[in-house]
Amino acid sequence: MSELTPAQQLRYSAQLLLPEMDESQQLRLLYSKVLIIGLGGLGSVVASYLAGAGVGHLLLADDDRVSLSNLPRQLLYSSAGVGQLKVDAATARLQAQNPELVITPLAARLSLSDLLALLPEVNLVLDCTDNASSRLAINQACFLRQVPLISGAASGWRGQLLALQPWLGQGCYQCLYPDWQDSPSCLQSGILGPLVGMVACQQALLALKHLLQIGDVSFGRLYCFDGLHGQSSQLKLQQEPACPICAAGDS
Amino acid sequence: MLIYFNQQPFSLTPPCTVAEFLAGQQQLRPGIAVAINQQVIPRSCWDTQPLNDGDTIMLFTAIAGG
Ligand SMILES: [Zn+2]
Repeated sequence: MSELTPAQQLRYSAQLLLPEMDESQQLRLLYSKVLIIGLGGLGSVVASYLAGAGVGHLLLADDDRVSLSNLPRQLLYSSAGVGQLKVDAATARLQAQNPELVITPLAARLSLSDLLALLPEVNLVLDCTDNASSRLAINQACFLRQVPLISGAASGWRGQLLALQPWLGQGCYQCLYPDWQDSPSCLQSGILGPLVGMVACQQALLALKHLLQIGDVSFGRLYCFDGLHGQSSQLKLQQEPACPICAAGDS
Repeated sequence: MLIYFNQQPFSLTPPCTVAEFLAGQQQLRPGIAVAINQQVIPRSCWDTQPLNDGDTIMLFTAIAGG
């Protein structure tokens, strides 16, 4: 397949109107393979936009089941789906949204060795998880396998977004928070749906821009957002010279 | 000298490092990061990095929710 079918031209017609887009760019999305880890408030929105845009192969990883308290912000799920595995509910919904995609559900909390095995075949990783240890393992695996990582996080009124290519010496997640143990979950610190949705939309936008190689993805910059006061800032990351992950020079 | 910490002006007597400033504000705790003038300062530099007149210091906390 080297050109879009008439149905694809129609389906993607609005995004194809953008000056940066054309058929070959759309085909580039259709041939892309993206791993989305975590299918909560971030992952469900990210997955929906990537599926809608025609990212051809999505790998979805989450070991959790849909619960009633997920429904205000995890837009892929319905009340009838409470108790289902998130990867199964999400796969069914996304496949209905865009039947021509390949969607691979992975009902697991991916370990470092799982990640190292999976990453050579993916173009991009989206970290949408809810805990520090998963985040740091994903960071390490993306460094070792040299796969770009776009990491989103949301808690309370605050959101953070970080796009990384840590093998380029620009720093990594571990450089930013070297002594991070863990942080309160959404259930502990509270969250409002649109706040996590904003981070997810930015994450999906960066992902599409990266896959299409257009615009500015701001790798190596931390974007912080305070939804209560409507303030945001962008901070340039620096490599921690003592970082055990990305600065282990001659080991 | 005058610095700005999380957008509030602060008067400081130089010299003062990042670590000294954070300790003075009782802000030294795990899972935080600091930026001066929009540039993140690596943790191992906090003991030596001096604050300068007019610096804008931002402290932010790691968040994990998704
Ligand atoms: Zn690092």
